[in-house]
Amino acid sequence: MDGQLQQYLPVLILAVVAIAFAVGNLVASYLIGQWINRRRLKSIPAAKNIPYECGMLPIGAGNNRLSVKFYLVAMLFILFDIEVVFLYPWAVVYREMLAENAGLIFGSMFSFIAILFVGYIYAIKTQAFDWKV
Amino acid sequence: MNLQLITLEVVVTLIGATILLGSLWLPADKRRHLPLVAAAALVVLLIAHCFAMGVDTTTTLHGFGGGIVQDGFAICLKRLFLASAAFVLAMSAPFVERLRAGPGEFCALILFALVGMLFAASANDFVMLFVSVELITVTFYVLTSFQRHETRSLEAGAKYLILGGVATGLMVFGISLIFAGSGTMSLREISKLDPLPNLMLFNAGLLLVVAGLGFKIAIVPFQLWAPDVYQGSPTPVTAFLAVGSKIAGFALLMRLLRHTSRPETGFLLDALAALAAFSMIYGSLCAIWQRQLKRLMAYIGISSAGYLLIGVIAMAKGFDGTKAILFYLAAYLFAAMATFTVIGLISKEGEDERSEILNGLHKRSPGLALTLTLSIVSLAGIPPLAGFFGKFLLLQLLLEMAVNNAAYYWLLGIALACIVASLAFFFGIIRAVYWPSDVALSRATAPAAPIPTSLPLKISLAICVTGIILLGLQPDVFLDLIQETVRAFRWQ
Amino acid sequence: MAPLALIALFLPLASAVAIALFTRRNASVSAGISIGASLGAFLISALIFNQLRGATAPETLNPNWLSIGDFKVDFGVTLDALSQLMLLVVTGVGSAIHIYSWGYMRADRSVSRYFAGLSLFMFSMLGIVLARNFVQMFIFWELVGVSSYLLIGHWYERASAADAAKKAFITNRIGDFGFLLGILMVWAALGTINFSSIADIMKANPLALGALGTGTGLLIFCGCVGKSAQFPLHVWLPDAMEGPTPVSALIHAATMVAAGVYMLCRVFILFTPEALSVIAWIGGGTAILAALMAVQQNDIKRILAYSTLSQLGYMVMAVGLGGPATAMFHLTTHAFFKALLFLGAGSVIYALHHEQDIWKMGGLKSKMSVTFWTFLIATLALCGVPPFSGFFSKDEILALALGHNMPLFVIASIVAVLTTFYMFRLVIVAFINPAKSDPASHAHESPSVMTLPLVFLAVLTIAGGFIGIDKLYEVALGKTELGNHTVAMAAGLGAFAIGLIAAWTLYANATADSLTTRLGAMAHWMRDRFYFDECYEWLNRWTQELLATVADWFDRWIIAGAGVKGLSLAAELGGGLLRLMQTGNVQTYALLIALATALLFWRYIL
Repeated sequence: MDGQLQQYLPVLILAVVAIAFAVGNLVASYLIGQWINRRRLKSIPAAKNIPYECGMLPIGAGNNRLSVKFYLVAMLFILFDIEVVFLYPWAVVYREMLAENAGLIFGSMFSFIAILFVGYIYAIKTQAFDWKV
Repeated sequence: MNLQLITLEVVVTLIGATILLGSLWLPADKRRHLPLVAAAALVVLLIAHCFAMGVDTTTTLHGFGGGIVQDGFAICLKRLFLASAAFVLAMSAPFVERLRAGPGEFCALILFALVGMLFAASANDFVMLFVSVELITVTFYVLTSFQRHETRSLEAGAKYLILGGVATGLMVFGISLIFAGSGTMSLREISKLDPLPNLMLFNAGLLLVVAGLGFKIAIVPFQLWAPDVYQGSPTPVTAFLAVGSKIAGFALLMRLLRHTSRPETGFLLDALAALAAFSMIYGSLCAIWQRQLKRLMAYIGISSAGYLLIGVIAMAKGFDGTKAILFYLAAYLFAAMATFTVIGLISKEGEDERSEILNGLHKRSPGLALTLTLSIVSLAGIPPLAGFFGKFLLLQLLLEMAVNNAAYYWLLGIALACIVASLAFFFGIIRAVYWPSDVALSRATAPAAPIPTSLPLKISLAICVTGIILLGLQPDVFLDLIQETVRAFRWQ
Repeated sequence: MAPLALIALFLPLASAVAIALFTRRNASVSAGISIGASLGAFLISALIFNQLRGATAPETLNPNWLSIGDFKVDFGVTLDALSQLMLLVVTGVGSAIHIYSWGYMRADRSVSRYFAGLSLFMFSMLGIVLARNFVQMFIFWELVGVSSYLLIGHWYERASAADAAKKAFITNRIGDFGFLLGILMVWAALGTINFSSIADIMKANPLALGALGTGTGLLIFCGCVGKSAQFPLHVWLPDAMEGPTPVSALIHAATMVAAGVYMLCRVFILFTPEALSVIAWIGGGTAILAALMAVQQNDIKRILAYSTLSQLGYMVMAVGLGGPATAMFHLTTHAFFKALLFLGAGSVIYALHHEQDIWKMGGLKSKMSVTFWTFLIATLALCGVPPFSGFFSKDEILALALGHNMPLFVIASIVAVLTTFYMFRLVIVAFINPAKSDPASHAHESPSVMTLPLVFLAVLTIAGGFIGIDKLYEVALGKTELGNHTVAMAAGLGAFAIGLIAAWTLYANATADSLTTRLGAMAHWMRDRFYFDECYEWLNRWTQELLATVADWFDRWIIAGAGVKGLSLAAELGGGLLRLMQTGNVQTYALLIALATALLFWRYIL
C-alpha cells in the first residue's frame, strides 16, 4: 500500500503548493489591504469595497446567461479533445506493438477515429457548429 | 486478436452508423421507415447468427486479453438481445411521429445500446463490464428523455441520469476496491486466485459492484427509479429498458458471480436471497394498487428480477440454474414485448397509460385484447403459458436448494405467496379489457374504433404470442435447445 | 351394407351442417336439404332392409376409435333385425314429419334453424339405433337430448318454451347420470361395453354381473326412465309440448321417447328377474297415472302427451314382463299412430290459428275431413280396435300381462278403458260436437303438403298389423310367451266398449266437462297432474335453498371473510404502505439507495 502510494507524493506536494499559493494570495491581499487602509485612513469609505475603485459603476448581475450554442460547441470540443488524449498513450506504444500486433494497434485506433468521424459528420450535417442557426 | 468474437457487435455498430448517417440525407418523409429497416436488418442478422455464421455454441473462446469470452451462455443471450431490439424497433415504427428529435437518431441509439448489451453478454473482465454497462446506460440517458417536448419524458431522463450516476459511482468504486483487493481486473484470474490478497476490500468491492448491477436489474433497494422512469420514457424505450437492460444486468451479474463465488464470499448469496425476497414482495404488493400500466410493468419487472435472483443464487451454488434463468428470460421477453407493443398501440400521444385506456379493448380490437391477455396471464405465471413454466423451473431449483439449507423454505414460501398475490393485478387488467364497468365506459371519451395495427407489428405480436404459447406447452423443446447451447457453460 | 348404413347416419348430419353454415338465410333451400336428407336416409334404410330382411349383417368396426388405458371403444354399426326395423320407423315417420313441417312451419321466422335441428335430431336418433356399444349409444343419447332441447325451445322468445326446454334437458340429465353409472358398472363387471360381447358373456354366464346385477340393470334403466319419461321422471314430457307440433310428433311421440324402450330391448339380456319386475311395475304405474291425468286435460297436445306417457308405460311394462319383441312391436305401431295423432292435432291447431283448447273447437268433422278421418283411424288404433295396427300390439301386451302378472293385467285393462275414454272425449269434443268458437266455425282443411303425410301415416297405421313386423321382432329378440289370447282380446275390446260408451254419454253435444264437477277434488288432482311438478319444485327449492344457504354462509364467512378478505386486505395494506416509498423525488431515492447500501455494508461486510 505505502509503496504504491509513495509514487503519488509529488502530485500531493504539487496540489498542496497550488492550493497554498491560491489561498495564500487571496488571504495575503485581503490582510495587506486591511492593514494599509487602517494605517492610512481612520475609517474605510464605501467606495473601497466595490470591485473597481475607479471607472464606471457596474450595471446588472455579474453572471450573464450564455447561448445554448456555446455549451453545444463546448461539449463537442471536449468530445474531440478526449480523442486527442487517447491518441497520446496510443502513440507511445504504437512502435512497440506494430512489430508483433500490427492489426490490433492500427485497427483499434482506426475504428475509434472512424466512429468519432461519423459523429463529426453528424455534427456538421445537423449544423451543430453553425452559430447562426 | 480474434475478430470473430465481436462480429455481431461490429455489424450492429455499422448498421447503427449507417442509419445515423443515412437519415441525414434521407428526405423527412422517408425517415419514418428507418425503424423497420433496422428491425429487418436485425432479424436477418439474428437468423444468420443462428444458422449461417457457423457459430459453435459448444466451445468457449477467449479473446482481447481475456476481456471477451464467447460461450453458449453468451451466444444465447446475444440472440435474446437481438430479438428484443428487433421487437423494440418494430414497436417504434408507429411511434416515429411522436419522436420529434428524429427517428434516425432514435434507431441509432437503440442499436448502440444493443451493442452495449452484446458486449455485456461477453464481458469477462471488469473493464468490459464497466464499459458495456456505461454504453447501455449512457444511451438510455438520451433515450429516456427522447420525447423532450414532454415534461414527463424529461423528468424520466433526469431521474435516470442522476440515479444512474449514483449507481455508476458505486460500481466504479466497487471495481477499484476489487482491484485493490485482488490486484487484477480479469474475472478468470480472480477465480484462480487463492487466497485473495485482501478479502475485506474484495468483498466490499463485490458488494458495491452488485449494488451497481442491482440498479440495472431493478432489485430492491435499487429499484426506486424504475416506476418513474418506466412511466415517463417513450414506450419502446421502456420496453427496451425493461427487457434488454435487465437481461444485460443479469448476464453481467451471473458472469460475475460465476467467477467470484467461493466460500469466503458466501455472504453475497445470503444478501442476494434477502434482496430476492424483498424484490418479490415489493413488486407483487405494489402491483396490486397500480393502475398505470407502465408503472405496473415496472413492478412486474421488479418481482421478476426477484424470481430470477433465485436462479442466479442457485447457479452460484453450483446448481443448474442457467437453463431456468434463460427460459424465464425468454418467456419474460415475449410477454413483456407483447404487452408494451399493445400499450404503445393503444395509448395516444401525451396520454398517461392508465388502465382505463384498456376499457372495452375487447370490443375495439379483439386480437390485441387476446394478445394482451395472454401476455399478462403469462407474466402472472398462470399455467399453461410460458411464464408459469419459467417460475416453475425456478421454484424447482429453490426446492433443490432447500434440501441442504432449510432457510430456503422461507424463500420458497415467500415466492409462492407472491405468485398468488400477483394474480390481483392480472384480474384488474383482464376485467378492464373484457368486462369494463359501465361507469368506466361512460367516462371513456374516445370512440370505440378498432386500433390500426400495421403488418410488421402484427407479425411481431404473432411471434410473441407463439413464443408464449409454445414455451408454455412445449417447454421441453426449448429447454433442450438451451441445454444444447449452454452445455459448455457449466459450473467449474 | 355397413357403409350404406353409415351414409344413412351421416346424411342428416351433413344436412344440419350445410344448413347451419350456408343456407341459413334461405328457408326453402334449407327445408329442401333437410327433407332430402331424411328421404335419402329412408331410401337407404329401405334398401338395407330389402337386402337383409332381418338377417344380421357383419358389423364394421374401427377398433381403436377411443382408447383410455384398458377402456377401449370402437366405432361401428349394428345391423340386425331390431336396428333395421327401427331405422325404417325412424326414417319413415321422420320423412313424413319433415314434409309435414314444411307446411306447418312455413310462416315461421326461423325455418332454417328448425330444419337444422330436425336434421341434427335425425342424425342423433339414427346414431342410437345403429350404436354398437354403450359409449357410442351414450354419446348419441346426449346428442338426442341436445337436439330435443333445441327443438322444444325453438320459440325461445316464449318464456314457457325456454323453461320447458330446460326442464326436459335437466330431467333427462338426472336419468342419464344413472345411465352413465350403469354403463360404468357394466364395464367394471364385464370388461366390455360392446353389445355383442355383452350378449355373448351373459349368454355363457347369466350371473356374470355378480351380486350387483339388479342394481346395474336398474341404473341402466334410469336412462330409459329419463328419456322415455317414466315415473318419476315423467314431468318433462307434457311441458315439452311447448315445441312446434311436428317436433312433438317426431321426438316426443314417435322416436326419441321410444329410444329408452329400444335401449332396454338392445341390452335386455342384462336385466335380472328382480330388475325386470321393478321395470314392469314402473311401466304399469306410469301407464295408469298418465291415463288418469289425461282424462282431465283440455289442451289437445297435452292429452296426446299424457297418452304417449301412458303408452310408453305399456311398452316398458312389456319389457319388464319379459317381452321385448312385444314392446318393440307396440313401439313401432305406436310410432305410426301417435305421429299421426300429433300431426292431425297440428293440422287442427294450424287451421284454428294456434288454438289448442278442445273446448273451443268442435265441428271440424265436416270442415277438415282428411284430418278427421285420419285422426279417427289413429284413435281407433290407439284404442286397440281391430283391424288397426294398435289392436295387434296392444292385444299382445295384454296377453303378455295376463300370462305373467295378473295385477298388471288388471291395471293394463283399466288403462285401456281410460285410453278409449279420453281419446273419444277428445274426438267428440273437438271434431263431432258443434263449433264453439269463431275460429272453429271458419276452419279450413290444411294444405296437401300437410295432409299427404297424414294419409301416408294412416296407411301405415292400418297396414301395420298385417305386414309381419311382430314376426321380425321375434326373430331378433326371441319369441315371447303369451297368455290366453282370447281372454286378452275380450278384455281389450270390452275396455274399448266401456270407454266409448262412457265418453259418448258424457260428452256428446256437451259444452263443458260435467265430469269435473262429478269427480270433485279428484278431477283437480288429475288436471293438476297429481301435483308431481309442484312437489318436485318444492323439493328442489327446499334443497337448493338449504344448499345455497350453507354455501353462502361458508363463502361469506369462511372463504371470503377469513381467507380472501383477510389476505387481500393484508396484501393491499402492504402495497399501500410500500407505495409511500415511491415519492417521485430523486433526492429521496438517492438517499434511500445510499442508506440501503450502507445497511448492506453494515450487515455483511463489517
